[in-house]
Amino acid sequence: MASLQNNLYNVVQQQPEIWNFLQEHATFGYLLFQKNELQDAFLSNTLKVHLAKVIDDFDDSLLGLYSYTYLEENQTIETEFSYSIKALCSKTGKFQKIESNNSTIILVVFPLRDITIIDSIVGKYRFSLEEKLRISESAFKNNFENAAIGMAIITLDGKWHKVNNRISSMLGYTKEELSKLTFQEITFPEDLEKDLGLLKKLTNGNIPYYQMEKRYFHKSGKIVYGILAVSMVHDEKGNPLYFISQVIDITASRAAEEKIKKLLHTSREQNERLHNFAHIVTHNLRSHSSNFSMLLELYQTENEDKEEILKLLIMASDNLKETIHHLTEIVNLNSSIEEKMETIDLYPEVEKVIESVHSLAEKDDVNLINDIPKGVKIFGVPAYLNSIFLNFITNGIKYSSPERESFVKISAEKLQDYTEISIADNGLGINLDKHGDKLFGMYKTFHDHEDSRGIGLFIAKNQIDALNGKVKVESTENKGTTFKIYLKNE
Amino acid sequence: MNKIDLACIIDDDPIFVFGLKKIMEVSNFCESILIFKNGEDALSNLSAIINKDEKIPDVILLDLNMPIMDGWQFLDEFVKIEPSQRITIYIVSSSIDPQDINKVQKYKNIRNYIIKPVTLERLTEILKEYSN
Repeated sequence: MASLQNNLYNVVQQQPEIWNFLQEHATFGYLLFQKNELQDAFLSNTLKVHLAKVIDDFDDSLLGLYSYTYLEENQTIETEFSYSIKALCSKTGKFQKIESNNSTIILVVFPLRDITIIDSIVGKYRFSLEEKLRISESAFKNNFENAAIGMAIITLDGKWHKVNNRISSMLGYTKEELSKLTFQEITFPEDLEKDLGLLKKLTNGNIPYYQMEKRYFHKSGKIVYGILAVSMVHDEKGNPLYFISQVIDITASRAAEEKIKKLLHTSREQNERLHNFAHIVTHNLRSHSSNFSMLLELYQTENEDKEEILKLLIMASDNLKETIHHLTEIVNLNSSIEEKMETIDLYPEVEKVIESVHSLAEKDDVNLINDIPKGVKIFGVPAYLNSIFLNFITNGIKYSSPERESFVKISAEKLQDYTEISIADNGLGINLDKHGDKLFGMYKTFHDHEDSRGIGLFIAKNQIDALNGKVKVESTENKGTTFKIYLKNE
Repeated sequence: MNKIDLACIIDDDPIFVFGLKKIMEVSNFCESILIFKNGEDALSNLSAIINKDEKIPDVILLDLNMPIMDGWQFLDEFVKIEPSQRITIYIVSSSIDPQDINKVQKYKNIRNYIIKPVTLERLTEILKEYSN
């Protein structure tokens, strides 16, 4: 300011008395520009007093808030305030431009009687200022109400003081319903502690804002995943007033992510199954081909036993045929079955299987019990289900204990998404510690039984997999085995 | 040259056992042969032989993929009863799974891994290997 005043002293030929007089009695002011930017402005006391009369909250320090553009005389100045002064200058005031030391000073002097003109211009200025405020307020309101993200003003005790449309659609409550709730009440319990901890830090002033991923309960009870950002509004004295929260709903992308994860899991599983299958194929085909080459080598060297070798060659070829048949069966299993899925009533299905193995059970004196409650239904492929039951039930018959009255009991229990089907016997049992990992392997058998081929459980397992089901086994040697099959309800 | 006195085949595939027996005869591999159809069969019989202090086999040709008790399970049990006199064990399998082949290194008593089919030539090699 001192250097400005020096400049002004220059203007009034360095006579402080004249300067003081002017300041007290003249209506004048100056605008100081440097490189076309306003550096400072000065209004004489009389001008200030007048301006204070017409502008309620007039404050000459506010002049610095506006940016002025200096233009040549008669050109338009866009900034409202400088425009008014410029207008004053050209109409009634004396306008003088002084340049010194890269600075430009515009000195404005005008008589008091022209103050009415100032009034009208300042009035215009005020109007436009109010207009601007109104516009920005309505723009904000519009923005708040219709924002793509959820916005809310939350009271210090957690009440939803004011929420926008997005929040209410996201959480399923009307604005009125929400105003009676606190965010604590509809926060997923596991996320509440973290939220409250951060909120406390925010209130204490330890952090300026926070952001976290959290879950809310939708009115319908389902979970809404959101990213929450919270900041705080204080009063003039710095006391907390309320929180401003922004919530982005990421439920849909979460669901998509879950779906992708699930798909990835399925494809990994399928890949693994294919890999295993490739091993099975090579191994099983190799064992036959090596038998062939061995027998053929013998055929060429041996003289006396040709007849017997030929017999074995035929046997080997039959074995190969059987293996290929099994492998084909498995290949067909894994090809698309979705469209063949249907709702199947379990009880009659089990009855059918029991009927078909009736004579086998009678021969081994095994009692077959269909304990499935009537009306239990699952979603599957009838042919698979039939084969699964057939495999597990004949298994139970085959490995029954000759030492006691044997049974195979089939029961079912409806769980949330799956039905648990139990096939329990009191037969020989399997040592799961020894054989558990190979139980459902191809050509694995665990008992010395004439009919054991190690293919039944393998196919059954593959069929259950194809139906998106699961199978578990519990067994105690010489007590019995229970297979638990989980198949989808729909 | 050391001749093999008693050889033992542990394999569930009757065709393979027949063929191998014949090739052994042709190549004059050993004096006599013991045959077991799976790991459990072999384990119970061999432990009886060891307990009775009878003649134990010089060489065991062991299949991997067998019912009831497979080759690996047999090996895990057999090390517990193996007598001080070392028995030379060969794995004879049609598995070309690298997992199986690498697993051999975990067992010190395995001499080698032979992939089926076993030819006359291969058997003669084994015999030479054993003798030296």
